[in-house]
Amino acid sequence: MKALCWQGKESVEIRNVNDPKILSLGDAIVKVTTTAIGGSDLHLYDGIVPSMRKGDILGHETMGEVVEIGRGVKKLKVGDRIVIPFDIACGHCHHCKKEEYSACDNSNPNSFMTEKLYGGSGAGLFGFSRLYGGYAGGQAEYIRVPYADINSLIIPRGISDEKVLFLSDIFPTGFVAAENCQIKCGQTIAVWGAGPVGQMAIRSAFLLGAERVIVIDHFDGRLKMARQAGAEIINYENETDIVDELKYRTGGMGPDACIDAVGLEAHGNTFPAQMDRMKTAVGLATDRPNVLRQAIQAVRKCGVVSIAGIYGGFLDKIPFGAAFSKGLTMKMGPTHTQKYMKLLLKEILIDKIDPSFVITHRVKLAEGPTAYKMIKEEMNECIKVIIKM
Amino acid sequence: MPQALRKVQDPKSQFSPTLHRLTENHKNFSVITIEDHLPEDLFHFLKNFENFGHYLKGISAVTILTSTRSRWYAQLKSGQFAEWDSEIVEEVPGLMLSWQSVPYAQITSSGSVWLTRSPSGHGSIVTLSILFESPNGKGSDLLFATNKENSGSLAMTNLHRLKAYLETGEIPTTDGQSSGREQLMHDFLTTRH
Repeated sequence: MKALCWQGKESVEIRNVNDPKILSLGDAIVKVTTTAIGGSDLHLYDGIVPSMRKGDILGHETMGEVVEIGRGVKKLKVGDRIVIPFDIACGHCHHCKKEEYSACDNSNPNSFMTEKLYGGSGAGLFGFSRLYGGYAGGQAEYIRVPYADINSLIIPRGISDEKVLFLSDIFPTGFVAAENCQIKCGQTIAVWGAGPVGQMAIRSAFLLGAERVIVIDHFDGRLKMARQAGAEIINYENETDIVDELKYRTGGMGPDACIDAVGLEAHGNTFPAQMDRMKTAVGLATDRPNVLRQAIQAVRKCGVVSIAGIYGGFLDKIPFGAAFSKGLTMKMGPTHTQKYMKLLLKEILIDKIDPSFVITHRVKLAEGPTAYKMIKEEMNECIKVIIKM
Repeated sequence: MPQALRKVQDPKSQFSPTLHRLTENHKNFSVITIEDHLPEDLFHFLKNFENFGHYLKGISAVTILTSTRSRWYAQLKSGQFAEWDSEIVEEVPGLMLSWQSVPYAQITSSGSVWLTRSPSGHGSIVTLSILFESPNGKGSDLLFATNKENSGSLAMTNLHRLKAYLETGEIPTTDGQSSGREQLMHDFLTTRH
C-alpha cells in the first residue's frame, strides 16, 4: 500500500509499504477513506517531537471501512464504517474504566520511555513517535487498529466522511477545551489560536452557554472563520498588549476562562515571545509558552485556564506566582476521545454543528508531501487539509 | 509513634532474611497495580512458570520439570537459544515467590515477586525484581541484556507486560506493523545489486 512517511525534519514522502496485518486478537484492519493532516502532525514535520524514525507512517485523524477483524473483536464486523480516535485505549485498565482513555495503562508498548520522562505513561497514539507507542498512522491506504472494539465509532450510512472525520480528534479536543472552562451562562471566554482546534473550541463554547468568545490570532483568514461563528476577534499584530486589551474588553476583570489552543510552538511579537524563539533555536528551551503566559495574566481572578495545545518539555518563565495568587484552575491533557465521540456524533446528527466548515483543502494521498509544505507556508488560507482516498 | 508519622509498611519487609540476601545484588524493584486479579489468583498464575513464556520479555518458553524446578529458554543475540534450569527457593502462598537458576546454569537468573491487595480491594500490587546474566557476568549475549543497573527497567517492562496480558488478554505490540523502512531496505538492497 502507499503511505505518507516521515523522513526527517520538514520531509515527508509517499512510500510503498506492506499492507498492515492482524498482530493481536483485538485488531481490525481498516481501509482508509478519509484522513486529515493535524496541527500535531506539524510538530512532527518540524522535527520537534523526539523519537521519530525515518519511515514512520504519519496520521492520527482517520476513518474508513473495516476489511478484516481479529478473533477477539466482538463489536465490529467487516463492512462497518468507523471513525478511529487518535488515542489508543485498551478498555480494561483502571483509567479506561473511568473513561480516562488517553491515560490508558496498557496500550503503549514503549511506556518505559514516557515513564522516565514524565513520571507516568499515557496511552499509545496513532502516528506520533515511539514515545507514544510507535503505532503506524492513518495517512495511508490501510491502517491497523488495536483494541478495535473500544477504538472505533461506527458511523451510520448516509452521512458524509467530512461531517464525522473530526470526531477522531479536533472536535472532541475543542469541545473538551470549552467544557474544561466550566462555562456558566453569560460568561466570556478568550481563545488563543484560531486553527482547527480553536475553531471547534469557539463553537463548543457557544454551545455550552458562553455569552462572548474573544479570539486571538494573527492570520486574517482564521480570524474571519472565527468571526463567522460569532466571536469577537483580536489580531495581535495590531495590539501592543493583549492582556490589557482583554481587560479593557471585559470591564477590567479579564475573561472568565482562557483557552490555549496553540501550545508549544506559539508565535508572537512581544519580548518574551522573541526570547522563546531564541532559546528554542539554540536548545536552551523545549517549548514556546508565550500564549500560556498571556492566558494566566489575562484571566480573571479565580478563573480557569484550559490548555488544549500540546506541550512536551520544560516550560520556562511561567508566571506561576500569578496563577497561585489569583487562585486559578488549570485543566489540560490529551483528550479522552472515546468518551466524547458518541455524544458529539449526536450533535452532528441533529444538525447542531457541522464540523466540515473547517475544511479548506482536499487533496489526494499522492499530494500529501506538498500539502504539508502548503500548510506551513500558507497558514492564512490553509486551515484544515483532508486527504481523500 | 503518631499515626501520621508511621511509615507505610513495605510489603517485602514481612518476609524472611533469606529473601533479602537473595535480592541484595539487585536492589532495583519495580511496582505495579493490576486490576481485577486478587493476590491469591495471581500467585497461582505466577507459580505456573509456563506462563512466563507468554509475557516475560525475551523468554521464549518455560517448561515445568517438577513442582519446584523449571527449564527456561531464551534467544541469544547470535540467534541460538540458551536454556537453563531454575528452582523455586522460597514461597509464601498468595504473598511471595522467589526463584533462581541452578548452579552452573548457562544463564544466571533470579527473580522475586511480592503480592498484596490493592487499596481498591479488587486488584493486586505486584512488586518484582528480576535479573538475567550470562556467564561472563554482563548479560551481553542475551537479546534483553540486563545488569545490576538496568534490572529495574526490565522489571518494570515485564510488569507492564504482565498487567496488559492479564487485564486485556494481549501484550501491546507494533512488531511486524507497516512502515516506510521496508521500502528503505528494499531500495538499499536493489541499489547494491
